[in-house]
Amino acid sequence: MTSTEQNTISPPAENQPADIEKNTLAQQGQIAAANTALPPVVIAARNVGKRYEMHRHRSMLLSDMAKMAFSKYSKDYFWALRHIEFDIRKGESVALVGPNGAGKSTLLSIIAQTVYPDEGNIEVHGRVSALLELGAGFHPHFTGRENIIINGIVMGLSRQEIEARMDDIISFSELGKFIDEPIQNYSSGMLARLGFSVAASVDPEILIVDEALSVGDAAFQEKSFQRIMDFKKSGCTILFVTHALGLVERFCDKAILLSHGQMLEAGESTAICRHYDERVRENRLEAPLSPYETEFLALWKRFAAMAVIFAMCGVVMAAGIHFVLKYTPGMEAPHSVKRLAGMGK
Amino acid sequence: MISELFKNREVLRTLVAKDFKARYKDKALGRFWSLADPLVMVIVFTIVFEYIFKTGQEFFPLFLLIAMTPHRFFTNSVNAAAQSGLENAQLVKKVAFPRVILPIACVLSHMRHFFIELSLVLLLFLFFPEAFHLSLNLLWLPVVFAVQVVFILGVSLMVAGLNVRYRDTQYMLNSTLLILYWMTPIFYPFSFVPPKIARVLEWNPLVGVIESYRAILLRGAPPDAHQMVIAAIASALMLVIGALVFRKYEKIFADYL
Repeated sequence: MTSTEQNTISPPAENQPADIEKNTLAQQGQIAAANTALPPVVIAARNVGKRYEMHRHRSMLLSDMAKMAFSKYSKDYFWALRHIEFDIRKGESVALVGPNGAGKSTLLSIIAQTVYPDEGNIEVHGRVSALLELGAGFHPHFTGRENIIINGIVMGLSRQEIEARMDDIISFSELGKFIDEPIQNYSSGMLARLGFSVAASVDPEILIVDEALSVGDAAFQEKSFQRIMDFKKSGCTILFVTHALGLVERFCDKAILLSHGQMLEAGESTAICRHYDERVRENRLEAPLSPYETEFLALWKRFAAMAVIFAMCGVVMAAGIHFVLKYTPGMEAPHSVKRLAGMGK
Repeated sequence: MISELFKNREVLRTLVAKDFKARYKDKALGRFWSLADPLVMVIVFTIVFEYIFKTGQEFFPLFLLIAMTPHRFFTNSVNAAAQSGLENAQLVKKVAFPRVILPIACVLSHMRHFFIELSLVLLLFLFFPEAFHLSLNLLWLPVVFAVQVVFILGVSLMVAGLNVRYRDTQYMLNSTLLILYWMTPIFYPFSFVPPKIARVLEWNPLVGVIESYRAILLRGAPPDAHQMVIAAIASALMLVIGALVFRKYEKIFADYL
C-alpha cells in the first residue's frame, strides 16, 4: 500500500494488524471526546480478508488424499480481499470503484453479511437492504403480491409492515393488475421493477446498490435514482458499486478504490475517480502483494494420509501373500475362499 | 441459535407456508397427492405381504401404515433438508438470515404433511375399529413424537450443512436411507429380529419410535422402556452432532452455492 497517497475515510493510525484494534479503539475514543458532531460509525471493517479455495467445488476424493500425502502443498488459496480497513459513518454515500475482479462484490456481500470474512472482522449497525441480483429468491409459481410478502419478510419486515406498504410497492413497480399473476409470466423488466420496489421498500438504514440502477427503461431508471436520492437525503448510508465514474462523482461523497483485493486509496470521490483514471492510463493498478497463497500442509495431516494409504496397501498385500502361501495347487481351498466363491455351506 | 430462531419466526413461518403452497400449486388434485403415495403403498404392500407372503400379521394395513407414516416424515424431511441450501441458493446469497431456518422449515413443512397423512391412519381405524385400544397409554404419544422430531431435526441439520460443502452427501444419503428403510421394522415386527442384531439395530431411534407407536395404538400398551431410553439417547446425540456439523458449515453457505 502506498502510504503517501493513502487517504482513508477514517485512516487507522497504522496498518500492522496486531495494533489495529488498540489504535482504532483509542482513536474512536479521542474522536468521541473531541468532536461529538461526527455521526456514528455504522460500518467498521478491520483488516478484513476473504479467501477462496481454488478448485473448491471438488470434494476430497481418495485420489486427492494420495496427492496431499505426496505433494508439497495442500490447497491453493486466492485472497479475493485482504487488509481492508475503513469506517463508514451514518449518512455517507460511498462508492466502491476498481477494475473487474477487484473484490468489490465480495466486499458488498461481506457487508450484507451473507459472506463471512476469513480474517479480521466487520461490524455493521442497522438494517441492510441489498439491491443485489434483484428479484433473487422470488418463487416463479407465486404471484407478484405473494412474492412481495415472502421477500419483505425474509428481508426483516413484519407481515403488518409489509401489508401497510403493499400499495406503495405495487404502484412504484407500475405492475398494475399483473401483480396478481404468477411471476413466471413476467417479462424480465417487470421482474426487475418488482425486485427494486421490494428492496427499496424496507426502510434500509444501509443500502447496498450493485449496478441496480440499470433496471428497467429510462423512466424507471430515473425514478429509482430519485428513490435512492430520497434515501440519501433521509440519512441512509449508501454503498454503491459501479463502473460509471460519472455517476460516482455526481452521487457519492466518498469512494474506495480497490484493485486485486487490496484497498489502494480511499477518500473524496472526485479525487479517487481522478486517481483511478490516472492509474488506469498509467497502468498502475498492480496488486501490492500477490493475492495467491499456497499453504504448507500440516505435517501430521500428511502423515495421516500416508498412513491410511500404506495401511490399505498393506492389507491388500497381506491378503495376497496369505492367499499365495496357503493356496498351492492341489490343496484344499481355505474355508473363507470357498465361502466367498459360494462353494461352502 | 434458538434466540435467533425466535427473532426470525416470521421468516420461518413464511418459508414453511411457501414450501407447502408451492407443492400444491397448479395441481388439480392439490393436497390429495400427499395421501396418494401412502395409500398406494399400503394397498400394494398389503397385497404382497398378506396374500403372497402370507405373513398373517393382524390388521396388516394398519400395522404397516403406523410405521410408514412416521418413517415417511423422516425420509422426506431429511431429503428436503439436504436440498434446502441448494434450493434457496439465491436467497442465501442475497439476504442475511440465520441459515438454520432452512432445514427447520423443511422439517416443519413435512411435519404438516405427517399430520395430514395421519388422517389416513384414522381412516383405517374406522375400518378396523376392533384394533383400537383406548387407554391412558395414549398419553405417551407426545413423548414418542418429541423423540422422533428431535431425531429428524438432528439428521436434517447434519445433511443440510454437509450437502452444501460436499455434494456427495445426497448420494450417500440415498443409500443410507435405503438401508435404514429395511433395517427399520416397517414390514415386520421388531420381535422378529434376532437379539444379537437387534442390539445393534435398536440404536436407530426410529425402531423405538415405531415400535412405541404400535404398542400404544395397536396393543394399548406403554412403550418398551429399554427401547425408548435408547431411542431418546440416540436422538439427543444426533441433534447435538447435527447442530455442531451445521454450525461448522453454515458460515460458508454463500461461498459454495
